[in-house]
Amino acid sequence: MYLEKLEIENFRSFAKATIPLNENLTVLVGENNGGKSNVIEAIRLLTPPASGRVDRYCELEDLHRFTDQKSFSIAGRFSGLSAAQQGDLISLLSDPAATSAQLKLTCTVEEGVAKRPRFTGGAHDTQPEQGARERIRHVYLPALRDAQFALSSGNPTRKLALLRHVIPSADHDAFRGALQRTGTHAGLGQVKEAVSKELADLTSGVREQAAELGFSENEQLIDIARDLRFRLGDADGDASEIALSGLGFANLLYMATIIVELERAQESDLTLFLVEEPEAHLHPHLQMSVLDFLQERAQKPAETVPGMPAGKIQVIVASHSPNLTSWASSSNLIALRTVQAGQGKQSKPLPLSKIDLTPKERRKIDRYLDVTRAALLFGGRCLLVEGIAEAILLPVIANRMFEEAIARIKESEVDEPEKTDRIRAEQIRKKKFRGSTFVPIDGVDFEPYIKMMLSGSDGVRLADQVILITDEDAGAGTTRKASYEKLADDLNAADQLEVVLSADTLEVDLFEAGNAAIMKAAYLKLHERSEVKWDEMAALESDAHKARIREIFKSTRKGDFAQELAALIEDRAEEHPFAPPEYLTRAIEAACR
Amino acid sequence: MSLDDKREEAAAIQRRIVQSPNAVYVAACPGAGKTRVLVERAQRILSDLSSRRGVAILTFSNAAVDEIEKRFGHDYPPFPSFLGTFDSFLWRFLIAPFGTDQGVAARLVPDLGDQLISPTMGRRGGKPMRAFPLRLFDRHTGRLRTDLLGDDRLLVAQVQNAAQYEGFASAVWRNRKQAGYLDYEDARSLAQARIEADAFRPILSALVARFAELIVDEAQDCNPSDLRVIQSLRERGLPVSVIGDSDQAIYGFRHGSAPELRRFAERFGEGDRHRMTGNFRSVSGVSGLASLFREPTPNDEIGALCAKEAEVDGGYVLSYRPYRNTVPASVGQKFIEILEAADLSPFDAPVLAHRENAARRAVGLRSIDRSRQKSFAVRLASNVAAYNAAERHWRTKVSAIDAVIGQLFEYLDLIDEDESFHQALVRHEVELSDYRGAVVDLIAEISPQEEEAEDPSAWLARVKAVFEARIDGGRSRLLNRPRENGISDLKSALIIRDNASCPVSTIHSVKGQQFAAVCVVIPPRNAEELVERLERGQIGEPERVLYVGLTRGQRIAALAVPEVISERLVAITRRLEITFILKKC
Repeated sequence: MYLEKLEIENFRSFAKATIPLNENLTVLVGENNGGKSNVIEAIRLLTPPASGRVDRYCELEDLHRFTDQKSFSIAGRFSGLSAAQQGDLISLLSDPAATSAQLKLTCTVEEGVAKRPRFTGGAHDTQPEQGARERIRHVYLPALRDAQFALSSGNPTRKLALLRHVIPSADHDAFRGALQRTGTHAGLGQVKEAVSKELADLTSGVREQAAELGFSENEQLIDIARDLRFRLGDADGDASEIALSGLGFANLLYMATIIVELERAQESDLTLFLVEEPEAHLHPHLQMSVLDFLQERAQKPAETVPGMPAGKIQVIVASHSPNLTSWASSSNLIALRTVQAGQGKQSKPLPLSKIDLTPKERRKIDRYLDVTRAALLFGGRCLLVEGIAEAILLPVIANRMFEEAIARIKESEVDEPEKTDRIRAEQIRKKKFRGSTFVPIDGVDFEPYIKMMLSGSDGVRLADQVILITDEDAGAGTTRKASYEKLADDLNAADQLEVVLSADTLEVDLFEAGNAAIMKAAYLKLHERSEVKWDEMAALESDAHKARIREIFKSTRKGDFAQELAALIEDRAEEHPFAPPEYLTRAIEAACR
Repeated sequence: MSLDDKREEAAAIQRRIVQSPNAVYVAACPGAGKTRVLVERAQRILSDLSSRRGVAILTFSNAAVDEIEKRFGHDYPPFPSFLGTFDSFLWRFLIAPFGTDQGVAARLVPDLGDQLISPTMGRRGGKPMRAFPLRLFDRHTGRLRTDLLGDDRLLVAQVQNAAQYEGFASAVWRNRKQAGYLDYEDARSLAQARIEADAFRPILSALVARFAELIVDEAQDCNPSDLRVIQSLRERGLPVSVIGDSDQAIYGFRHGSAPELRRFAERFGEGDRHRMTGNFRSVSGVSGLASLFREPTPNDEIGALCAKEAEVDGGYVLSYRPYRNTVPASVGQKFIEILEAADLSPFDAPVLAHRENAARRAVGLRSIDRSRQKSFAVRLASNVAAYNAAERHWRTKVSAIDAVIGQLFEYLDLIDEDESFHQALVRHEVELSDYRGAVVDLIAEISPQEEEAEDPSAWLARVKAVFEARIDGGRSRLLNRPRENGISDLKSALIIRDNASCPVSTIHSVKGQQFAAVCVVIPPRNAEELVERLERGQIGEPERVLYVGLTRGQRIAALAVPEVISERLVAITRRLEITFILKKC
């Protein structure tokens, strides 16, 4: 059994949304405030925690801000039920065929207070049997902000939970007894004597008091937890106080203290492991090992001892990390996007598995979504380019364009307030451009990316705007631009795609735009002894030198050249003027619109 | 065999039943420890299971559910085990989750048939026709069910123009069905159809996977359709144990059937059928007297295994002279004398009869006329009295509270002319449990004080003041002083019974319970027919009802009979070698 989908209405950033989930691992990705955490919050309200300690209740803020209704609801549909699970969840079954079960939470807000939620089940929202809901539980690993504090001496909560989990409640007394401190040292007697003398003097006129220092005679588990400390260190070295160890390892230790609760998964049919931003404070290698761990847990074949709970673990992760997202298959990813609807905003899910890609296309995308390219998943405006050279040069060129524009405004003879306004406008354009994602696709087949970025349902897409720079395919006539535009049109996203055509290769176009001097300087940095070769090329007639440039750059690493050229463009030396080719200017303009 | 040996033997049978790895069929006589064995067997199964599965225990009355629940105590089996009535089992697993066949949510409205209908309802002008309860008309055809009219001549006379009612009734039944309203009878037949439907096969498999065993208590109360449900689950591989006593089959009216049960028993292997014959509850005098109403079984004595037995303990026959052709109060007085001699409290010694009125007469209470529609005030007084009766079980108290809530609905005019109270609850989306706390307070406030019991008008005036002060609006004229016979009804409803008198009850409602002593009353009306049947050795349902009643007693069972049959009864008992003490009253 697993949670197949969530249907959410008027809950936090969601007005109405259906979120399909994968049987094993689902990674929720998206910008801040996109609604990732709210999906996790929804599951926390719908299912009880494995620890038995409920720490999330319905509250007023859970009602969607832009609704005039007075209640919100969260419904989970569970599929893949075994006969035993069907039996236990009979009051939640959607139909006599018993293919799925539904559990729904409805919470009404009255007079500014969220009332106690009502749980219903099945097709007719009837009352579930007492105990049925407990068959499905969750373990919640919150976003880690300060693991050192959470595990420190002053904060017993986590340690107490751990003790309770590990030590059976019947043994709590024995545990307390064994750790009870005596407090019989002579030093304590001296303290008593010292204090009592003063105290007696102070209180003799009223009611004489006596005092002594000792341990509580009735130490509770929480007192013990407060005094226990975690020590952490390399496995083969000495452990030291948690405050002295790295934040990253402290976080992993914190995770470990919570993951211990997953052992309880054996006692229930389905445990939803909800993980929020596991990447915080972890360097990429640790992130990888965390993801490996999560995937392993999720795929661990559910124990199928007949007559025992299935012990299935389903992992749901919310993450900002390109590392984590690039490691998971696109079919495990759900992007959450914020869309404007009427007066308000709302979150919409976009499951990447639902995008209509051929298996070949999907494999291609999965391979390409490495750490750099995974940025695509975080949406917004994207610039798709063919190669690394464009990706390196575009931001640098754009930056120079903006700076030159600002410099021109400063020198112009307009009024001061007008000047300030125009400079601010230019700065805003610059920021917008910087918010775009540049992705070289290392090829010329843009189609899968266009599909991925622009497909959508319900007006939700990964990208707000895709700008694509390519050249016309000499062999196939002028069909490429047209076919991409048709694809976008088919996806109802004609306005979201801008195809910018280059005339020739990047190098030829740069040269033709009048950048012979700066290109020569960059070229010579790579090939010190090739000045003659460059000059011969430059002297050729128009069409002949184009072919020669293409030839030269066949034996030059385009990326290295782009780096050299980028450095020179950034330097803005007098002897190296730079004029961007017209189509790059257009692409940059499009990206900051 | 000594008593100790007998007790040891009976205990050995109990152990075998508890430990048997196979599902068992158990025939148990009264007092054999049936409930104990059932609970211990369930506990044994649950402790063997290291797994997720549970046990389902089904019985036929809420009183039996309470009794079993009490025996479990703190070890009450948790989810996914189930303990409840047969009806609640069917409702929970076959109806509620899936709604009705009309595709709407199913809502249980137990009093669907109580709704009053009349063809002139909702019409303006014209002479209104008398309203009758919907239950008098067949739920499928709308036809008047003459079998239910009984001897209510007024009723029979009024339904001359039945055709007008029938069309109306069938439309009302149909509307209710469309809205998803079901009463127990509807629910039972729907569940029965589903058990046999292919579409519901996965649900049966799910139940088989959920429960390690289904234990059916009081199996003699199963009707053939109940047995079919059980058999269907059994055929799917669910082990079903059955515990019952065909001598106690007293539910002929819901088609409970002893022969069917015997046939069912034959499907169990020889080694899986057990008989519990020892009676740990009653002294030999009690079980002896009771055996008068039980079919004799060869080689199978009901052995009294009760260890202590005082001289006054045993069976009594109380011979009475009818007063105005009914049971006189001298019966109750004589019974109290016997209790005093045995040092027993009347609190634990109910007076029982097939119909409650005979028992009421025997303790000097007026009989209740159920055929007459009683005033709001009289019903309120009866509900308050039912709540206050000390011997009542909490479940009875809850139904008294709910009845008062129903009256408050009536007072506030929240029940439409064409709906029952429970339908109104559904329509107003109200849960009874939301109001019970407040209504308990109200009942305490309006409970009659001693002097008011004699002065119904004073009580009524106070109740009216309380209602007016506590409730905004409402129809306070409902609490106006009733007419003369209304006042006398009210007076009898207000009688405060002290602790020195015996509780009264029907035999059906004490089924499965036990008391230190019982007095079973045979009213004059059926006495001669009864004795004739006994003389011929005929044992049918009326006899089994008496058997159930007498076997509730632990130390004393008294049988009150009119003097005209006492001689003949004594003769029969001599022949059967039954010993008892005869007392005249």
